[in-house]
Amino acid sequence: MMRHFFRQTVLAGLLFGQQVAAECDRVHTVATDDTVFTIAEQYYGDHTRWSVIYDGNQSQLGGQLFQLAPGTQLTIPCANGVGVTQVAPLRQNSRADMILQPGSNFAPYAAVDWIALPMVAEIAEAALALMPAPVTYEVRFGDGAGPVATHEGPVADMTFPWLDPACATRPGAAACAEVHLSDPLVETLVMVFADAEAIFPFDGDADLEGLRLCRPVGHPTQDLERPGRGWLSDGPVEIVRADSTGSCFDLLLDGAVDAVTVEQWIGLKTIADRDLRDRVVPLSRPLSVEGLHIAIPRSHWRGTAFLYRVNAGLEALKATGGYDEIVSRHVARMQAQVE
Amino acid sequence: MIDRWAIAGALCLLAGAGAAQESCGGSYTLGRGESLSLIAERLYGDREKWTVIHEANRAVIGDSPDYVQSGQTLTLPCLEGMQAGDARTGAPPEEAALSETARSDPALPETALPDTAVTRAATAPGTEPLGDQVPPIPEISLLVADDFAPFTDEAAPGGGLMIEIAAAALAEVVTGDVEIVWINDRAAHLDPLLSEQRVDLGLPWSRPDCEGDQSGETLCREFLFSDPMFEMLSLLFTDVDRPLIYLSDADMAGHTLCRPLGLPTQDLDGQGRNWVSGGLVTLVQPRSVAACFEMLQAGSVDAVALNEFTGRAAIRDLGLDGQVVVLDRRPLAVETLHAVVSKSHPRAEDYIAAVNAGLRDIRRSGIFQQILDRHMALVWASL
Repeated sequence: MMRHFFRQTVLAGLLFGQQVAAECDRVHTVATDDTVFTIAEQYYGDHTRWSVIYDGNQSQLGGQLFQLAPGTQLTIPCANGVGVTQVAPLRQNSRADMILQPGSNFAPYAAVDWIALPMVAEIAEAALALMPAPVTYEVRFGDGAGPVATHEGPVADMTFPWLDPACATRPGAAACAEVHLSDPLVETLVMVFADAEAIFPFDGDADLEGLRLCRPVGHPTQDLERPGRGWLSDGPVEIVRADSTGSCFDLLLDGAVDAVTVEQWIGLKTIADRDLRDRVVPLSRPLSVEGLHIAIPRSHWRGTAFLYRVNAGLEALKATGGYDEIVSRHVARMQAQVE
Repeated sequence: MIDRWAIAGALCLLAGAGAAQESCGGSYTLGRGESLSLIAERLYGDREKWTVIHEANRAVIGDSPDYVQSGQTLTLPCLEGMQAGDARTGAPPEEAALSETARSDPALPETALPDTAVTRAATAPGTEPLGDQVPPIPEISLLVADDFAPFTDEAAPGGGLMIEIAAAALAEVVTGDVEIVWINDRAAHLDPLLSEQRVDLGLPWSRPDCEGDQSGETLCREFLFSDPMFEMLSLLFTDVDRPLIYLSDADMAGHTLCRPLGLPTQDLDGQGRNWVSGGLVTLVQPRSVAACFEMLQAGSVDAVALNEFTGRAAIRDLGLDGQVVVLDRRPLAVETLHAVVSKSHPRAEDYIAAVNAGLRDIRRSGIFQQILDRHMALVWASL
């Protein structure tokens, strides 16, 4: 049985690989009325795979899913990771001048089981490799990541990935006074997941009025309370907090909430792990688009100089095309994990 | 004391004969991604000992310990005190500190030992002992100038961030007084005040790229620099009504820049620019930071070229918010701040070693970060 299953999987993989190879790893020039959904349909025959297009072209799309600028050149990533290049292994130093390790203003985004974290880490690493006025650096990640601080003081110089604490609208946020935030390493999408039996239209916030949305405890809520969207304080959307993403999905299937809203990869992975793929589906537009940043303490003796190095390295990475390569490879990996 | 020294030496020999043979004498070929501190940690059990490896291999590595390359073969000094400080030998840290001090000057009478090494071991049990061989320094003077907020600024707490850091570092290694000498004519600091040793140390000075170009030739040739105490960006500040496009160095040709007199200009001439020395850019050097911004407002200069913090403090103090554009995405240079001493000073090497040892001490103890926290909170709150 086991062997049979294995062979089937391999065959499916081969078939899938051939099928996609013909349609991917190419450039698509945006035409009038193209959306990420129509493009996903065109190349993958599946509009629900729009996030592969989106994630593979974040720098060109700039948060837009629908109103794409005609003429924009988009990469159509190979969803199965065919033909990708290998990058150098992480650089190791016992005490490099610059140490970056996971640590976040919101725990789920720095958790080792968040499947997008390796992508964020690799982008950070690749950006640091291109920094101007170079210093020795180390990106600690996975088992190598220790505490951010000990009794002797901070261990890491910088942490990632941080959500922008939206200082302009929430000036009281403690993080605003404490850290510099880099330019976003990636933008992550906060999705709305609904019961497959009870899908509702979602073209804008107005469609959610009167509904109950579940957001797990420990996940950020700043996107629910921002100018024009005072859901935590005023309604009209009711926000329900459950202990975990899984509990939110339980509430959804019990009919206790109308939708679950979490970061897309956290949601998709939970659905895959609980084998809920037939019962829960993401709606086809995100609730929020959140940038993930590197945070550097404002009192670090090299704070602004490190900020400059990170941002300039990231700019260089995007200019060389390395950025898009990393994203497409990881999106393929993550897609495989949630399929 | 001499006995302890001998014991420490013997420990080193024992260690050298055993598993740690490589760590005491001999050579070491750098692997990919290895740093001096990594090797020091592995071979001496103390990453701070990278300085010893660096000193012994300056001919191979050069002045900058950060730019080691894989494949370089380094000589590893056999230092008697070292192995005693290594936790693997089991010697208590107090002994390590004492034996090391004794080793650096075996003839030194016990009463003349610097208190610092002993009291630190006594008051901070469990922390690493002072690992640096610094000859005693009874007192030292520090030359600073006002009008360099937030680094040296008479109105700031403790006279500014750099003075507090340097004073805290020196307090760790100087037995007597640290005298702060305020002479606001910065143009007279390097020469004659420091070159004629009327004051011992100058503070703070950005270090030119001494290995890479000629922009800081005089500074590099005539002065020693401490380890860096702070790092920052050198930026252009422009008038909001007269935008200046600075995308590449070529864009600067024909412009007039302002930099207060006495501040070094290697960022304008380094990196192959030669803006000032080559006559591509006109440099105006009034006596104060405020004068530079007045010239910018008056239209007589195209930009003020200054470090980000001093520039932003001036914008705040002069009420120029909204009138000055800070080109912080495209800095002129990344600069580090250091203490300097004239190479003609008879104790130049000792003084720099003392500053560096003190800096390592206050970084380790957390005092360095406490001072930064206090000053940087004020800096960012006021901007």
